[in-house]
Parts: sequence; structure tokens; C-alpha cells
Amino acid sequence: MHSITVLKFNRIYRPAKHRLARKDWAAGRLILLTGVLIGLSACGGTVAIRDYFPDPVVAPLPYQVGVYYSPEFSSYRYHNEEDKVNFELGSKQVRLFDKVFAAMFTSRTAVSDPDSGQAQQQLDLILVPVLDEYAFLSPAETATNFYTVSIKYHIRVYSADNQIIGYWPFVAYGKNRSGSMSGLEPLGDATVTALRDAAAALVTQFRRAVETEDWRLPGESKQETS
Amino acid sequence: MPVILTSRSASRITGFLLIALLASGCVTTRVEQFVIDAPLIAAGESVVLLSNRQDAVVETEDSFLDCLYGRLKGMKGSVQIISEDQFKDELFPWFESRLAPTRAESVGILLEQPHIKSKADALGVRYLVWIHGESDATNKQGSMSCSFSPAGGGCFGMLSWDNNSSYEATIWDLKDSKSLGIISSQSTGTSVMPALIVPIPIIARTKGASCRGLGDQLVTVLSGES
Repeated sequence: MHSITVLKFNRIYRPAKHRLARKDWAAGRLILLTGVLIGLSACGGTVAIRDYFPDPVVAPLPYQVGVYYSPEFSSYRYHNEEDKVNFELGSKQVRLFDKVFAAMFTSRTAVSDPDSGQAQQQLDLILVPVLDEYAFLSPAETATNFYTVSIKYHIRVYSADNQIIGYWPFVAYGKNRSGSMSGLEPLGDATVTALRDAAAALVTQFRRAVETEDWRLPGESKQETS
Repeated sequence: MPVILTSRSASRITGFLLIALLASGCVTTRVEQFVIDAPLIAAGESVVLLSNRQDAVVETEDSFLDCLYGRLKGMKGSVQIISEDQFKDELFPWFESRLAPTRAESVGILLEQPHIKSKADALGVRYLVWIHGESDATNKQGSMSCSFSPAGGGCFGMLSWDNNSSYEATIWDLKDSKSLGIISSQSTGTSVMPALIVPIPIIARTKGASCRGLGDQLVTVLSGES
């Protein structure tokens, strides 16, 4: 949030010629102040992330799945005091995962937390996506012209009787060229690219894992998918 | 607060802006093409422009793709040019960086999946044109210093740098799943910015020259126009 400072100038009577000059200077100062404010706003702030994701083109697997999004996942907000970067990611990733799961399986329904022990309806699997880490590197940090984003997820897979049967980690990447005057918009675009990369990982690698039940159990070490 | 400009200062500013807009450095462009017997595209077929985003170092600028898209849009006849965003959305997520085919033969394998093939057929896509390359500035020389005070200000000095733009377009035929050839365009030029109170940028617009060179050759190959 920006604070607004109201500048007051004492009125001094001067002959017409000087009044004109003073007006020019005041206008010049105002333009300079505006420029400084715009410049400062480009150093940090809120990142706009588009929340449009197309429907994935994929043949559905014959599974009825339940999906649970924890409050930490669905309302995740990235906030970095040092970078002064602040944006909401939770609703965007819920929208993406919802679209992907809806396309990947014959049916997808929202369920309650499987760890709560509540009985679930007749399902083949229950999926719980978890965001482990969101990170980005600015062009200054990589000495390139790009913002690069990585999002670390894992999917917890439960049986219909709420027993955890699998754990599938993966990392999604995105990058976008930075513009000289575009502020944090390229970071938002790099984040969208990373979310779309997550969709690509889900419809291919996670789908294969579901078909072959190639999970690992929590705590087991296995190279992460990237 | 209104800024009062005298007619003399207004004409000075207008003159400066005209010089800045019109002044551009010399650019040399070399285009390498391949020769075909007949135009590739037939009525009702579509061409897709895509950038190769799998290269970790080089990524084609969106502005270059927009420029090329504009030039191909100007082709005569009923050829439809599909933008990268539209195509990637229609076939989401199969042309995201993680999954995009790297060889023409791989497209044939991808199109063996009926749900993907039906989407591509609905778009009428016959050719994919992969664009790869970027523009950069090297060999920066000279110095410039600017100072401002209540009495006025200005800049003094001279800067120069080399602009290089190197792009290539690889055309894939989706019907036969094969690569038809590569058209490349390389433009070089030197930009200078002398400053005597006011800096006057004389920019070598190599990216625009490469866009024109590559765009014209693509139009010739695709539609037979020259």
C-alpha cells in the first residue's frame, strides 16, 4: 500500500514572468515525483497471476477420485518481506488441479480431509495435493533476462478407506523474459508457465504412476520427478 | 497541474522526437532460405507459429513472434495463421516445454492419440513453424554522464553498441510428420547515442529487419507470394 504525501507550497506573489517559471518548476517537480513513485513501485508489490487455464486434452482414466484441498493449499499466499513481493496463488492452483483431475479421471468429487478419518463415499482413490515450496529467481540473481519459478508439490494418494497408499513428488518450472518497464508482470507470467508445467507433469507422469501404482510411501526416498 | 509550453519549446520537443524516431542505424541482414517447387499451403489449411522454449539459454522474444505473426497474417488467400497461445491452449498441455515434441517424427507419435488428433484436425493445422533465436546487444563502448540542477541539466558523451539478431524458422509438415527445412535470418548493426545536452539514440533495428527478412521468406515458401 502506498502512502500519499500532500505537498503544500507557500504562495508568494511574483511578477507574471516569474510566476510562469515557478509553475514550470512545480510541474517539473510533480513529474519527477510521479516518476520516482512509479520507479519505486516497480521494485516490489503485488503480482497479477492469470487464473485462466484451458481444459487439458487427455483421455480419462476409469477411476472415480475424490480430491481434498487443504486450507493451506487453497488459500496459499506468497509473501516475501525482503523482496516486497506478495501475491495469492492458492485459488489459481486449485483451479488448475481441478481442471486437470476432472479431465484425467472419469469422475472427480470434493471430499473431506482423509486424515480426519471420516467415512468417504465409494471412490477408487483420494488425492491430496500439497504445495511444498514456491520459489523464484529474479533476473538480477541469475544474471539473465529471465524470471525463473519453481513450485515443489507432492500428491498424497489415499485408498477409499482413508489409508495412505502413495506419495508422488514433482517439481514444476516456469520462466519468462523480464521487461524493462513491466514491473513484476513477467514474474506472474513465469508463475503461470510453472502451473501449466505442473499440469503437463500430472497428465503424463502422474497418470502413468496411477496406472502402474508406481508410488512411494511417505518417508521413502526416490528421485523426484521434474 | 498544466505544463505551459511556449510554441518555441514545443517545436523544439517535436523536432527532437522526430529526430529520435527517424534516426536509425544501418542494418545488414542475411537470409538463408530453401527452395520449393510449389507453395506449401493449400486453401483451408492452417499454419502455427511456435517458439522453441526448451532452450535453457535462448528464448525468442514475444515481440518478435508478434511481428512475424503480423507479417504472415498479411498473406493472401484463405490461409489461417494460428498464434502460439491459441494453439498451446487448444492442445493443452502437449506443447508446454516439458512435453513439446523436439523432432518432427515425434509429432506423428503424438497425433496417434485420437483425442489430440481430433483437436489438431479441428484447427486444420498442416504446418508447424518453430521459431528459435533472439536479439542481443554486445560490444558496448563509450561513456555518458548526465547532471541536473535547479539551473538546468543535460547529458554529455557518446555510447555505442552492436545489435545482433539471429533467428531461424523450422517448418514441420504434420501430415507427413517430417521437417521440410530451415529458413534463417541474421541481422547486425551498430547503434550510437551521442549526447550534447540531449541524448539522441540512433538505434540499429536488427530485430525488425530480421522479422521482415524471415517473414518475407516464410510467406514465399508457404504461399508462393514474393
